[in-house]
Amino acid sequence: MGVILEVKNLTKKFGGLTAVNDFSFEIKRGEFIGLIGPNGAGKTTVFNLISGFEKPSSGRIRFNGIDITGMKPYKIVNLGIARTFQLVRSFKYLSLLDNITVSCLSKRGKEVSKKTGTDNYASSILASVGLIDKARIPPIILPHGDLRKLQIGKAVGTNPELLLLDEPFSGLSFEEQLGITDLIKKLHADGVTIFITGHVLRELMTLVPRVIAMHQGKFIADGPPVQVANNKIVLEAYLGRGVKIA
Amino acid sequence: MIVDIMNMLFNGTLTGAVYALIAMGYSLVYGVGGIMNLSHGAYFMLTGYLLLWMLQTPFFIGLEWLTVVFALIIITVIGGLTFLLLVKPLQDSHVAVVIVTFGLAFLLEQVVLISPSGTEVWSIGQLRLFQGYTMVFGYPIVHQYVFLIVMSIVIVLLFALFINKSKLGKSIRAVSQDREAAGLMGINASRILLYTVMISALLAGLAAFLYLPGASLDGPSMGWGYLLNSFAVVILGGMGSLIGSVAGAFIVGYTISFTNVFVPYGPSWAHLVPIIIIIVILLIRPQGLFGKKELR
Amino acid sequence: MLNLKIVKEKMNEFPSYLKSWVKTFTGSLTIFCLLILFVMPFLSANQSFTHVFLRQFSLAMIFAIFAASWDLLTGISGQISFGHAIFFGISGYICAYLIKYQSFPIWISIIISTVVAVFFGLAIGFPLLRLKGPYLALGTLAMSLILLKLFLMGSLADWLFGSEGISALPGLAATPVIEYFILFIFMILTFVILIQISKSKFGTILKSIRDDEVGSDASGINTTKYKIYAFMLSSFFAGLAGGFYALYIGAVNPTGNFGTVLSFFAILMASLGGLATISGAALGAFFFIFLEYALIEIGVVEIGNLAIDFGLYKFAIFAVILIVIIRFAEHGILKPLLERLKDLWDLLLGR
Ligand SMILES: Nc1ncnc2c1ncn2[C@@H]1O[C@H](COP(=O)(O)OP(=O)(O)O)[C@@H](O)[C@H]1O
Ligand SMILES: [Mg+2]
Repeated sequence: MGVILEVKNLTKKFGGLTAVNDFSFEIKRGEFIGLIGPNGAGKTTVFNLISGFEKPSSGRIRFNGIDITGMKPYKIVNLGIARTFQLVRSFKYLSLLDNITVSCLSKRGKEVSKKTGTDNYASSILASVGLIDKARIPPIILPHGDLRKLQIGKAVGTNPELLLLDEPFSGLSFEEQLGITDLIKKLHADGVTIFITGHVLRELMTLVPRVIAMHQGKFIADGPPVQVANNKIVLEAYLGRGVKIA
Repeated sequence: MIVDIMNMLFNGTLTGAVYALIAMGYSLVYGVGGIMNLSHGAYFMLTGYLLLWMLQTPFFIGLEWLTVVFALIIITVIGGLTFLLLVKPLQDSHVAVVIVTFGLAFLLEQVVLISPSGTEVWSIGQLRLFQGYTMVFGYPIVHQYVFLIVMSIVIVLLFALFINKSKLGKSIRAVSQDREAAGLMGINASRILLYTVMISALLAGLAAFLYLPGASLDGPSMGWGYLLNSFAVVILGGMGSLIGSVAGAFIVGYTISFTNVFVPYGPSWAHLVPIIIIIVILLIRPQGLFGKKELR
Repeated sequence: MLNLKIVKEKMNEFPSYLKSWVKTFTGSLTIFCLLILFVMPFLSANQSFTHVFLRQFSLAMIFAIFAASWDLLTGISGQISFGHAIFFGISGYICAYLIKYQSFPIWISIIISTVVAVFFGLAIGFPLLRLKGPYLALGTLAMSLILLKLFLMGSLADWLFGSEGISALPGLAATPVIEYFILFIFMILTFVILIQISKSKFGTILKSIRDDEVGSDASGINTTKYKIYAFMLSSFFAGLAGGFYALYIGAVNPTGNFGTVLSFFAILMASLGGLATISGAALGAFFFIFLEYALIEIGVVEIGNLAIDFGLYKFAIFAVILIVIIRFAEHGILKPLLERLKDLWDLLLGR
């Protein structure tokens, strides 16, 4: 159970605004861990920094011992970190199967594709996210819940060790949330390390054994959900009292 | 030597003043709506020919000033129609907007080309407000151009005032900063965009009215040159930045006039200057010298 | 790594794949059109036929290759090029120069000039690819205008031949009929290759970049690398067309080979047929050449006391067509038309 991801003193400034402020944490291989905080806390920015879509102002990120700070996104994916986006995005004129196929053609995706064949690999992923009967249609006409599943499928196609899921439940009905929950649990059982954000506490509480809480870019708490939820600062952050930390 | 320097300074200021007017609107439209309007140079060109055609009509003899009013109204309406008929329905696709406005610019050029006045060089000197010139250090300073420079500065200042102080100006800024938030505040973004495109066309028309009477109508393809130079200006200044456009306009103006005066075979290289500026700036600092926006 | 076994299997599969393709509507129609194109030169040995009519078809084939190359870059890969004349023109000039001043054989010249075009694709693609959407469009337009102006410049005429260009080149072949068949073969090759590319996994990756570059990046795709491939492939075929065009016309000059209007034609033809379809580019090119020819032939028409010269109006008409297509028919007009025909066909055959 080595450390898979190590984030140290991560800081990101947008002009005068510090979206992520001296943020540090570690994730162990095989963990299932949540990142919580109210809207605007900086969760998405943390994901953007880890996945290379933003460059940090300072701080280091290590993955499997390799320094990936400031690397290009596709290189990070090829090392084994995949992500989904809070706002769904898809290749809107490609079929669902081809949407997944693209990830299967990435460097790590190919390692599997080579053995099973790209089409088989993509189909199996599409089946596992429950969209195989829609393989030939483009994503434009999908309902939101299916688009969320597609996001996860696209990330899984890159054959990741660590999966970053940015608010995978947002905008979903309760039933749809259950479907996604099952899917994520299955992935975790398959050995993928899962790091997941949410701005509503309730969603993550029952799902993950460990959460990190952040507020206004800063680290607040780390531990089992019940413990973190009772943390005074976390409560105040969610109740919007505008606490001052330090 | 002093003549050369005067030449360079005066022509640089002149070119800068013209491009400040043209590029300001072009940049505003991109900043507010993300619309890259490739017909913008054609508005300038067409205004010149509208003036010419009206001046050639017997009806306007003695009423030359009316031609200016009409030409500016027509070009503003054309700007509005461009937005309503072509750009608005296609706004979701950058490719489509670019191609369709490219097609429109091409169409306007061809329409002028097949008109009876298409293939020759024309003067609309009747519309010069000031005649003659004054020698300063041996260089002739054309009065009409001095008028242009002064007017350009006045218009730029008025425009800045309009954007910062008027109600419409504030709405324009609100839409350019955050379209959705502006929508929530009850601002109709589409209508604001329409006004913005119309204002930009009006500014291009004004530039044509101020500049072309002192120069000449060199043929309908001149619109492309103005488009490209305006693009150089806003690339330099940063898309959507008004101060940037004005500063960029003068930088481009002085660079062109410097090349013209001091570089061997200058006039033919001067054509290339703006394009080279575009390429270089795009490559080393895509957000422009004064801009902050990301290119996405 | 080539897996020979798979290649062999594919080779065995091929005839049956071809057989089933021929039976489809597109297949039958394509074969039918190709047959017509094939027998056409034999229809008449009449001079005016071979020298005027057939030549128009040859021109359409050159433009079909050119438009298809644009469609690969813009339609399939989403990289808007408004300066495709760059590759077309540079290749034409190199080809003309090598033949006229270095006495190179025609085919060697075409090969070299096409390679140079690819080199330009790389040299221009690499720096410009940092630009997105409309910026790339204007960046490529600016590049093509630089080249146009450099070639027009009197002070550089000693090196770049000035506004006169290079003239009195030998033809591509001894007779228009041979020229026609050479172009016919190259057009077919081009389309087979480009359509296969667009249907391949490689094509899927290009389309993913077009639809969502960030998403493609997040899927582990080195988007820069693929965009450069797209630029190079596209400039290869644009260069090929440009070399043929120089020999077809028998001369090169700045506006004729670098003019913005050529880039405009490529856009128009590909949009007419339907963006991102590749084959639409061929339909668009033939339609375009036919229309241009027809407009010139119609010439001056007198309506009342108004004389309208359609030949003079042709560019304005093209511009209107482009605007209308982009505005109202994002899938082009020719491809959807064929699809309607296909429905009719299926109905007739009771499928
Ligand atoms: N590209 C950006 N430019 C400027 N500010 C940004 C940018 N991205 C995020 N921010 C700001 O950083 C803060 C954190 O945002 P984000 O990471 O999206 O929070 P969360 O995902 O927790 O809701 C917010 O105040 C947001 O406005
Ligand atoms: Mg977020």
